[in-house]
Amino acid sequence: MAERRPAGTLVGRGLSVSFGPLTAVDGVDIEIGPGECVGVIGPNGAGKSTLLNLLSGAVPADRGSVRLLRGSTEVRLDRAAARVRARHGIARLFQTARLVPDWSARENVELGVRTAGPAAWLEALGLPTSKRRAARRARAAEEALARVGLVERAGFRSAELSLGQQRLVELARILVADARILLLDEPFAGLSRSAREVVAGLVAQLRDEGVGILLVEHDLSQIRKLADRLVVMDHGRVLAAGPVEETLADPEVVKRYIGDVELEIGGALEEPAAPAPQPVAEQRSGPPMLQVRDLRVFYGPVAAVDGVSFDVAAGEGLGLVGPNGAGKSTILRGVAGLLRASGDVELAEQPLGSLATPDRYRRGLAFVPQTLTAVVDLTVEENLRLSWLTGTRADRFAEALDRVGELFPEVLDRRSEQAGALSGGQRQMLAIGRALMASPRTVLLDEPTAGLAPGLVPIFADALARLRATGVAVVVVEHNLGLVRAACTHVLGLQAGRPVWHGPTERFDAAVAHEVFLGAQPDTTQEEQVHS
Amino acid sequence: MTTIAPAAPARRDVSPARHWRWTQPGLLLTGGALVLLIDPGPFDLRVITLVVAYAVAATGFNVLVGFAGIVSIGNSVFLAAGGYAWALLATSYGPLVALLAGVVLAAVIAALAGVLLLRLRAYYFAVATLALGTLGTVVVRNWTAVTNGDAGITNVGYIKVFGLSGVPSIFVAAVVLLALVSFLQEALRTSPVGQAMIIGRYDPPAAEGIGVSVAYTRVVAFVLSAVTAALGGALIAQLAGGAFPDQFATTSAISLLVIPIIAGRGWRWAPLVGAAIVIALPEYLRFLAEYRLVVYGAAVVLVALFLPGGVHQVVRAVAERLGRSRG
Repeated sequence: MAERRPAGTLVGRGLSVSFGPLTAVDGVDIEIGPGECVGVIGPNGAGKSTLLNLLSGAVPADRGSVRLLRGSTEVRLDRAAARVRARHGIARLFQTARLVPDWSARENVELGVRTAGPAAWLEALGLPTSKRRAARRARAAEEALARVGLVERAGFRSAELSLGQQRLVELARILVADARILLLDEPFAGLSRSAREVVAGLVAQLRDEGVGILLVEHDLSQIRKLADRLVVMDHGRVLAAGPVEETLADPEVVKRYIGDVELEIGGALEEPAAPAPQPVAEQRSGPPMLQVRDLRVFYGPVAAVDGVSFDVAAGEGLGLVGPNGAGKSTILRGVAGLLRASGDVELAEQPLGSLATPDRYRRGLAFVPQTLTAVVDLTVEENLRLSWLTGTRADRFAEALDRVGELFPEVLDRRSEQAGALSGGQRQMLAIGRALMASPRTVLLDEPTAGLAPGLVPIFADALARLRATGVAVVVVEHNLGLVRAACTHVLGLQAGRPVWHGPTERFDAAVAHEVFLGAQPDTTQEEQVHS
Repeated sequence: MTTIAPAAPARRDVSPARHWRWTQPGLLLTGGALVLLIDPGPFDLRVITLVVAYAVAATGFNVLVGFAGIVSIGNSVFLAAGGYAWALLATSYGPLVALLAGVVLAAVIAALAGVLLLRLRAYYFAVATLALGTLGTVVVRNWTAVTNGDAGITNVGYIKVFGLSGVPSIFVAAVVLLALVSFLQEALRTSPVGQAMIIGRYDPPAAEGIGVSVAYTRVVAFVLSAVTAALGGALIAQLAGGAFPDQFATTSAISLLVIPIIAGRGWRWAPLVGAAIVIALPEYLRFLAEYRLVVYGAAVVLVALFLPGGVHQVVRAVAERLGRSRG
């Protein structure tokens, strides 16, 4: 086959890898040329991240070849470790930011500056020339941080930065490394709109500068904006590939992947709101299950959330929405007792304020954190049993298990498999299931659909609605407004740690959403200061 | 995950700053001069010298545990390499050759053992190094032709500096060596090599993803821990007037391990502060007679329980409090 592709093209041919009985990637061909952005979409478990791992070298392929074209020659990278590929200019962005939390943003970026072996050692010996080299490195890091709009935060510990800012720091690290091929694993997941714009702008800019980009992403609006070509994966294979719009219009793709849930992604707020499933009792019956008054939640001495009050009755659902840094997850952690908080929190008229987290759980509170916490070495059933054993054991194990099975039959079908073998969506179902094993009366969920395929959103929305129907109060933090509208009776909009809108879901329309997400900020220092 | 940053304007440059590299060596040398000026009694000076010798030995270990995040229980073998090299070579070939020979011997053993053993996972590596240390003791005890077995080698001489003699001379040499290795430790921490070690400990996949060979940084850290251990071993042999198997048994390896952990892994003052606690404290608890080790053990357990960050944690908390009251 005549190779007439431009130099710098990364070519993967026939890539396959299996984990035990599961073939995660099965004979995939992929090419990333310089100055080209290749989008990869597909449902959870389709093998997108694994394909990226095969190209980056994090996971060795069972079969297939990876080559980097260099004019008339080529570099074979099949057996090359990740670090060797990195030195060839293949950089990857992990789904979660991987920074050293104690280091400043600048130091984290400096890691990306490649220093040749001997020079690095001269510096390690503290020779006088090292100062100049260190200064040059710091300058390169600051320039890269300036490009991602974070130069004022160069000296901050990276643990103090928001998730979006951490991702930008990681992008800056890639910038100083002068990568020629960029493998991005869901770079937009969990970011605020402004941070998304910065990341998108940067990706577009890099592409125009001749960097080849592989973009694994659920957010189709970003794919449409950035990708030159699209690869749709399903069950480890390429389902369709080609120009973006054509491929998205492919009936097979529409049928298998997008269906009619694409509307859910942006929230489709112009559409009339789907009638939210009503609580079991039409009127508020009796006292609120969870009552929060004047909640302030602190990170160290700083009140990240201030003046938040809400009630959730049995069978009701409250959605907490707002841009990144608004304090949504912080509220959940404050209610769960994981962060220092002041104000009144009552569960079924019992004050929780003075109780430690485990005691709050014992009173009927449950919290599903955003990070999935299943023990991967144990089976699904063992995981659920573990949660039941550590919970109140108000119900028998079989009853509790049935309750999980009613909401997520898919998980219970795999009860004897190791939790590590579950797909991302199933793990999230398991995480919720684990919380339910303790027979809670109020469940707090932190972004249950973050990073999941859009096709799964309605399943979770439906599960939450059915959970509410059993009389459980639900509080959910969520970026996906589609889920909020489908699963919640009330919405609380937040900005910079303060409530800005509170009302029933039916009244949460496009204008309100615009106000909450894009409206003028309250007069406090804003957490996300990203400039493009 | 989305709301980690505080809403208030955060302070600038809160991360561990790049210290001026000469501060620590300067303080060490000044402190050493002060000790000589005060002229403590022979017992105290001996104890202080042993503390400094262990601080030298533990500096590399601080790099190993604090930067690369690896635990070894066998570094006594490197102390022995330095100590016996000194004992065998110092009187006939001079101090420089003896020191260098010990360092090279230790580095070679560490490089070979590191390449072989560091592919093991954390706990297994620790167990394997325990075997390495034990093996060292066995060799030292039984290779009588070279090591003179259990009787050890005596009359090994000591390093003479600045016209001093006896323990003060060893003390000055130890302080100068500590200043040197402390300078190198700080230079390493801010250099690409040290930074690669730290990210290799914190997140191996991410480190590989940016082109760092985690295996390589681990072997390097292990070799560095061997180098300073050999220097410390040579000082310990001089102070004891000879090299004996018991000096370099597993107990000394445990001391090396406890020093950085009790003082705060990776902290640049950890070797000295930790050595003061681990080496000097038991000496000054001798008035407790048999209860000495009980009290010492309880103190160590208390630190482990309530100060996971070691002494450094206290220092940082105090510094933060001071900084806040000022600002």
